Amino acid sequence: MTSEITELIKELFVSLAHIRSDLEAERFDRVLSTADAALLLCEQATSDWEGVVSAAEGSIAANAFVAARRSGDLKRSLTYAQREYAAAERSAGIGVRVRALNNRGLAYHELNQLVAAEADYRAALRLIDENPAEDLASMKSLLLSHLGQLLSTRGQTDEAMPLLLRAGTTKGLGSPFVQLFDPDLSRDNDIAMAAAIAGDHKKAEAIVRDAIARSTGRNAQIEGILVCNLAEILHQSGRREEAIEIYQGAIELHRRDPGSSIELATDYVNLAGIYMETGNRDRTIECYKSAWDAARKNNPRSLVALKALWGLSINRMVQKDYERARAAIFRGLDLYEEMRPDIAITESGQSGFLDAYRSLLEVGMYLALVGSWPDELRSLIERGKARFALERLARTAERPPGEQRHADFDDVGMNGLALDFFVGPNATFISYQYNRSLGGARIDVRETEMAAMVDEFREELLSSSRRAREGVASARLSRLLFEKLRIEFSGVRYIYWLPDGPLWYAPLEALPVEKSAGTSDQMTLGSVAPASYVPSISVLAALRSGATEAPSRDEWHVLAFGEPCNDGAFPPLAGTARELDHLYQLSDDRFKITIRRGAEATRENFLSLAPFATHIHIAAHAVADFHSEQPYIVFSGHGEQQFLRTGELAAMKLKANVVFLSACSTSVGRKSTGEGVMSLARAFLWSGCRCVVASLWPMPDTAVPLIVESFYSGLVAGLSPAQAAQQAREQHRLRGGTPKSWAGFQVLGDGDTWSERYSMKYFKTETL
Amino acid sequence: MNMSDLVWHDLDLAVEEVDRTDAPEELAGVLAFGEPVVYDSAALAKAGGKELDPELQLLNDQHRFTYVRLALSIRPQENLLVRFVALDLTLDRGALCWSMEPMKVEQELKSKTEASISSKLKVKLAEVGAELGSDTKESAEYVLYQPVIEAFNVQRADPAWELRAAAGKQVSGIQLFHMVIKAPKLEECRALVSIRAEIMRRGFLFSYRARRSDRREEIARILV
Repeated sequence: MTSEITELIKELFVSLAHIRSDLEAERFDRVLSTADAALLLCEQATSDWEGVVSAAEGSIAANAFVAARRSGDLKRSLTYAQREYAAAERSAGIGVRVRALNNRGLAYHELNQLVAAEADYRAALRLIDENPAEDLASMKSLLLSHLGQLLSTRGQTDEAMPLLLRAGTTKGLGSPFVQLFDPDLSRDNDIAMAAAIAGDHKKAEAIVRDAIARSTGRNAQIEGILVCNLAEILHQSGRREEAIEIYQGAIELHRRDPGSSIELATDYVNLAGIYMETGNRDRTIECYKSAWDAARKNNPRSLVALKALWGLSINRMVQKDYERARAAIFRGLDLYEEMRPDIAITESGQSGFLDAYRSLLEVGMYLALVGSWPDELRSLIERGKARFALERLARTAERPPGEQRHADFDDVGMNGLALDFFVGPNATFISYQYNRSLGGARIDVRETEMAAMVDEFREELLSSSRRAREGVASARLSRLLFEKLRIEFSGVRYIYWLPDGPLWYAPLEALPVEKSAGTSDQMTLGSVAPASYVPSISVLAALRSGATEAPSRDEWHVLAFGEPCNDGAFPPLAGTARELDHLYQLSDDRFKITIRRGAEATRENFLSLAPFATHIHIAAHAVADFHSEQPYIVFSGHGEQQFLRTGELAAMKLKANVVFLSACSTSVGRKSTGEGVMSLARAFLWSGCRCVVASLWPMPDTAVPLIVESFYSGLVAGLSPAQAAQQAREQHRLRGGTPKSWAGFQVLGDGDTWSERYSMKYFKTETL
Repeated sequence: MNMSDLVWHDLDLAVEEVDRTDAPEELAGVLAFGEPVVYDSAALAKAGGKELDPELQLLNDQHRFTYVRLALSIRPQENLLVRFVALDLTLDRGALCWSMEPMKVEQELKSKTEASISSKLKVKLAEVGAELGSDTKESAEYVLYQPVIEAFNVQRADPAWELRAAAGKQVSGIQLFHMVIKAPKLEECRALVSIRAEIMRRGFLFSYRARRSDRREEIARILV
């Protein structure tokens, strides 16, 4: 070892000693200046001498990271955490790398860069699992807790809870940093919160008060969190006045600590909630305003900032201060847009923030209707829907993000009607566009009530009871959705349904409309015009922009699967053979057809043939329900090898113009906030298919072939998929088929492939 | 006759149509049907000390009036919701349904009832106290929760009862159905009973038809 490196190492360790004592004394500025100087020295080192320099650099950066975040400088804390990680990467010690990943994760976490934070936490946990010999149990518990709290913030409670339980915590303190400082307090707090959840407020209060007594004077942030939790316990036990007083104490504590801006904002939001309950509007607004000020001081990109802006907007609106209400709404909307890419890359990871965002949108929609601004209503509805779908399609189309466009009137076309729904936590909004007219309405039915009405409607359609035949539930839902819209359905050429929430499960085309004069038949919306279901107008535009012209009939390559041979759980389906036979007869040298039936109708054959097909027909079993994350098609075979799940499907690159899923519940799956339903039909759309015919419930094997035959006869005759589906449905209905067989099929995506013929542009050209 | 005297027959449920999913084609243990109880209504009324209404006396010369009590037991099962049950009867050779009870139950309620036959040979249901009926009464000596029930087609040959559950709930428990059938005296008439059920599984409604253990869909054949 040279004398220079000896000197350097000596100097680094002296600095580290100073840094530690200054950190203990909360002299953060001194910690940071000493650390900066020491880190500069590390950069000048010509040798690492058995990793000692790296180890010192990592320790200095780790302490500086803590000082920076305690002084409220979150960006700087990230810089130190990155430096610590860089030093740790040069080290062989697993524990050092795990700690560095944890700290960098925390820094990202506080800056609300949750994607990056999650990646770090998971990488650290992987390292621990790969090195069981290391004694890192307490570090693992800490990481599980951090990851659990991150997932919980994003609304992924189902995934978060097992992690938190494994970490030995129940609810956490609302901050992932407490355990870092004092595990005993953290444990006591968790016990108290568990008692509060179980309804034992007395016990909870006693434990928290004891913890506060032990924390007093040690760390303002932790003490503030404990006091805030005490206030919440008091609030839950109905002692509102005391809770207000205690919250004010928590606010005082957090104000003293520059690193507690998010905790401070949380205190204010909670306090505002109590004032709102008491009807004290001025105090409520004051608290929400303070929450917003606190949140934006260090980092406005947080969920609590969105909640503060929501609180401000709704209370300003009640005061009829529309201008300031709008300002808060649009600030919140822009904020979410800005942070969205950093929150999560999956739909479920966005759900917590998206719920807050949609609450803001809902207030915005109220205002849009108050101001009679239907264009703003439509734009807000569009903003809250199918975000992931649009991003996904944009990626598939490999277009730069700047080229994403919002839909315009031409996407709906001449005499096309677009009915765009937003089913919010408090009300339902409808925006409609018919030719050049835009309109909108609010229905005071919240999501839970709408879900109940949709369930009744579905059950009424499927039930054979005499009361069901009266169609009371159908008529009620139809009246509710359309009576405020003043649309003359008779002139409509095409309907674009843009459902939201529970309306995704409703066969809207089966809703009755008023009978026309001189007709005896009960009209349904499905008999009025062909229709398709689209997540949003922007998605429709994206689907169209990525697609080429529909192929002419002699260019068709139809791929048909049926008569699957399965194991015991899935009975043989005689009806599927009939569908394949009909398709074969229809082809008659008019188009190319590839049929795989029986033992050949395998998943492997599908995977290899599907990318070349212009039309795909699958007649088989499918399994999905309202909670399915990964619905699947059952091809020939046994066990897992029969199944093709949505995840795998969506990753395929297909180019089919039309897909017919002649199976059960293929447009059903788990509902995803603002996105629609995670169904097989959606997976086909995401894989590049333009339009999918799918089913809303289990389809009877005997009746389906009749629908399929009518559909393909129409398609071969030149109808668009939506027109062919309408014709098939109507023929079956008029022949006396039960709603179970005709009302369940719906067209998703761009079913109006001949739209150019009818679009306004074309219409103008023709008339000129 | 008490409930303990009832003989129950377990029924299987078979799907009305095969669907393209993994729903079970058959379900066991959901429904059981009680052995029908049959009495001569006029004799029952007279035994209760009631004189037949004059109009009924005229009819009684050419017709038999038979009281029939049917019993149905619906047992809840995990992951299944019985949303609807229909009890359909087909009367042949000129027989028709003279009277039915219950006619309509609008809301789910807790009740303890007894059936009696009036002078017009109509079934009457009444709430009862601790003392239970006389010889002329068919009493239900137990408490039951009634779903929404409606009777259809009284005075016709195809009477039916339908039981529906309120949203999110299910039809369950034991239910008694009472009926007086008017049949020409010179004919040997039959009442054929069939049962349909609609069951929700994983959020989807499936239609089933009840079958006896010998796979017959005719649950009971009652001579009246």
